[in-house]
Amino acid sequence: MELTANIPNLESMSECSIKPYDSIYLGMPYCWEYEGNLIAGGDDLSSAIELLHVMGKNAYVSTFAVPRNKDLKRVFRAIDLAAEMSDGIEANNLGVMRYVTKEYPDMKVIAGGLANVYTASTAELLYSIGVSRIVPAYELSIEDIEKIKETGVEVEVVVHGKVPVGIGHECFLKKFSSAVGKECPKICREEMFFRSEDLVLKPFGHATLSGKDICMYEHIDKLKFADAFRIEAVTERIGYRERIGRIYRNLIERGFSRSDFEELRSISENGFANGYYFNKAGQIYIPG
Amino acid sequence: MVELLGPGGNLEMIEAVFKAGADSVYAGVLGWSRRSKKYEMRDEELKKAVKIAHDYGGMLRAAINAMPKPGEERMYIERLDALYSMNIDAVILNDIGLMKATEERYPDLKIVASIGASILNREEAMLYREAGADMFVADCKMNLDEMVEIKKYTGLGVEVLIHANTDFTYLGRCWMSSYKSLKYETVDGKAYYIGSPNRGGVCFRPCLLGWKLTGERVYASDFKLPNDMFLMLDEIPEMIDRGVDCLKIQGREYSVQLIHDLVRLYRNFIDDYIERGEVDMEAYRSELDAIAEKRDSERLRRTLELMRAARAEKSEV
Repeated sequence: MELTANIPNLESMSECSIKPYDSIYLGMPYCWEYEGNLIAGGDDLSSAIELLHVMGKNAYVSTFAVPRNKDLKRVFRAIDLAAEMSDGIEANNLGVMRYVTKEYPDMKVIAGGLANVYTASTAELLYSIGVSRIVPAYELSIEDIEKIKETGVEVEVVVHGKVPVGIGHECFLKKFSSAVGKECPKICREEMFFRSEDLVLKPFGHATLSGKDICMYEHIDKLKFADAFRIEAVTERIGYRERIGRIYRNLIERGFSRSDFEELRSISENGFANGYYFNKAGQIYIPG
Repeated sequence: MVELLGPGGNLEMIEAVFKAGADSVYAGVLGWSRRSKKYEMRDEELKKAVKIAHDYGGMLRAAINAMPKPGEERMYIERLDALYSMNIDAVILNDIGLMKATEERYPDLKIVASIGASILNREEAMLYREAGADMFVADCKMNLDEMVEIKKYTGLGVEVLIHANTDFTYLGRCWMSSYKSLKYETVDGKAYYIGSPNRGGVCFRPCLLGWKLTGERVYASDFKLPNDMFLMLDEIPEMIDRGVDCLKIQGREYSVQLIHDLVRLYRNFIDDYIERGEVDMEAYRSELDAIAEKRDSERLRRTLELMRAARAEKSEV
């Protein structure tokens, strides 16, 4: 089982935070302007890939999740650079997938969760053009994901962290710059949440994330058919990635630990949810 | 000639839409479109809808654009066979895999890539083209230059929503409603997810709740996340001039009279522009403002109904 996480910039790459993982996705896919974004251009990406390789880890490179026509040149430039050094490219946009699979047919291509792969038909189509791994649409249940896996494609599932519940054309958080007293790109360094009734959401760049942590620690056996477990941590601080990674590494290698589970609870700001794995509302948590 | 496409929430609306001058209408296949069951149709109604459309010399598009559950592909093919045998004129689809399957089975059937596909750029549009799409619905945030670029690059037809809502997410990339509330049941053996528009159920519109932004303190309160209705007018002449192929009016859940009036206004506007090359914008704008007031009142009632349903986890909404 491959354990993966994502890291947005060089500043977030400490040895401890990388150690528990087999593979790291590099770059912030939700916003170009994120400080030090590894996929926004510059030399940091090469340094990050090099560092991962020295540590014996796979280096996958994420791409901007919602590119319009005007963004394509920039996205393709990042891919061209990444293709020479990285072990895989993650694309959340079908146009980006089309480009990578055509230009770099030998590259490992991963369809991210925002690519909206809901059906086995789409999984088959993407597999046929060269996509080798899929993070299925977040709304799918476990039985749905098993069907995707039956097509022959690898599947990667989020086992912990905050997943997107929406993505749009702009950063809505920027509208609150004066109220918060911080401008872009500093504003999203603050821990902030949208709250209404029973809902908590985390605004971040173009994306809006689940405010609760998706947690499958107690249900991990039900996901063992997957090829990779993802800790969705691209918007989190370094310590989060390190502690959560260590706990899931222990879970994979040694099994359930009550104290580890309690530690997960203490890390989560707004509690747990199971996402859509059990055909329930995404914010509901079912104890194991 | 640009096509004017109206909504068909029921048979009465379909009749009214054609009487008002639409070229085509779209209707939802029960359990398979991005709307509540209340505004979808069973086969018997769909057959009647096709007849009404063809009697007026118009076309009927079947919206089958909800994302099915993996494993329901065979059920989709059965639905497709039934629709094809009814002589529908096009299908509106979301899922690119199903598009490919549709193209292979019925290469003569027109396929429209739904707005829920969230096609954002020319490369993405090309992949849909390769999978069999003939036309794509432009996202509401896309400008005319982008649409024209995609059309030139791919050869796809362009459809634009002239009456719809736009919110702060891309339409097919929002799961807030099902994150808040979701009820799983089946309709005629097909999985049905109340609370997930992507999977065929209603959207509970949580963006329109009262929100606050919190961190070390409360930074802002009592705001809504953007979700606005719009009615286009000024933009339409340029769209026609630059080759937009279809102008679509959304609104299966609105009253028949409201939709009739809206279609009538747009029909007259388009005809005036095409015949004379100019239109009395002020007169049309004032007529449209009056319709918008009625529309806003109907929408507010519906939003409140959906919010109550989300809290109560009701299934019939």
